[in-house]
Amino acid sequence: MKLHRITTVALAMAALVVGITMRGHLLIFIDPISIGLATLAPMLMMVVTHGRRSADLARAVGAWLMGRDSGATDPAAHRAVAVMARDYGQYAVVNGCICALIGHVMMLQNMSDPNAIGPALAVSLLTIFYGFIIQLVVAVPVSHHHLALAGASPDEFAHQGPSLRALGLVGFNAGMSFLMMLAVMDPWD
Amino acid sequence: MKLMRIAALLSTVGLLVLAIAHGSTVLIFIDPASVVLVPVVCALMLVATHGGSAVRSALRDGLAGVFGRLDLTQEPDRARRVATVANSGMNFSLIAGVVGGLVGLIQMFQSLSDPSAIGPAMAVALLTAFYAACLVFLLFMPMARNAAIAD
Repeated sequence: MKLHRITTVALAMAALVVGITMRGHLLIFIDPISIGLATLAPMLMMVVTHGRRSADLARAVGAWLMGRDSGATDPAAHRAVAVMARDYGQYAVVNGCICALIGHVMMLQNMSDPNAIGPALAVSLLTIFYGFIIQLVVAVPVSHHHLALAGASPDEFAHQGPSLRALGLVGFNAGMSFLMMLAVMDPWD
Repeated sequence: MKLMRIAALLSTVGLLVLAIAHGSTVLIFIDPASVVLVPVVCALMLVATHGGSAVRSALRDGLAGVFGRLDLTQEPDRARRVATVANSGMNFSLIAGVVGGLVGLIQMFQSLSDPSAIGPAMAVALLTAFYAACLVFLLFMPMARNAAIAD
């Protein structure tokens, strides 16, 4: 059975939704402002970094999803797309961390209502969540696809995901939000 | 068949299960939502990236190279494909593990009103990271490293 790529990606998204709804509501994972921030800012940073060539990445993502030819012909062009896809994913994660820090600082200014802390923390972490979804569903697959087309050595495939620096930022954010929760809840009272 | 390697893997799994059973029941480490969030998503993204037949043959060759009769040093092309797919799988399971952890954390923060529910919710959030680490440790890393030596 041959699954089209877009079907497989849709199935992966559906699996994510199923995994989320098995434990709680899907609605808490949808926040328009966070979605706008998490998708637009990394795209803008891609334009800052790679200029007009970032249009090649957008074309390559569409071509990858629909199973079309991306227009890149030689290994160097494939490698350029792979590098841009990797950068996009890494920007998405770091951007998520920045937005989460913004959310945390905004929340700390506004600690009068203890009941509002939990949802505020959850919304702060949403941007990191979106960043990793972008990396999981778009950036790393496109990067690996084009590395494979360029005939890259297997070792290169290991370095397309989140960098250790980004993972450190994520850990810092998660730990800080946990500490804030403890500060508000005082569960050992 | 490389019986020593199979015995070593089974002993590793046994050690992990012993460590779990020593402190609690194994049942609390089985969570359907985490299974959907990490191994299933990881497998689907592998198929979307490399194509179903390539992933299937790479997994088969990889397992045969580690445990079976296949000698990957004689098959550089297949060794490359195994290492490629295994490295991809490491990336995807790592990211899926972080996503699952964030899902658990966000869901926990949304239901802070019940303090007694925080412990179990946090434990479930960590299970996705546990599954991701187990996938890397027991499956993808042996396959990738074994194939990398062969390549």
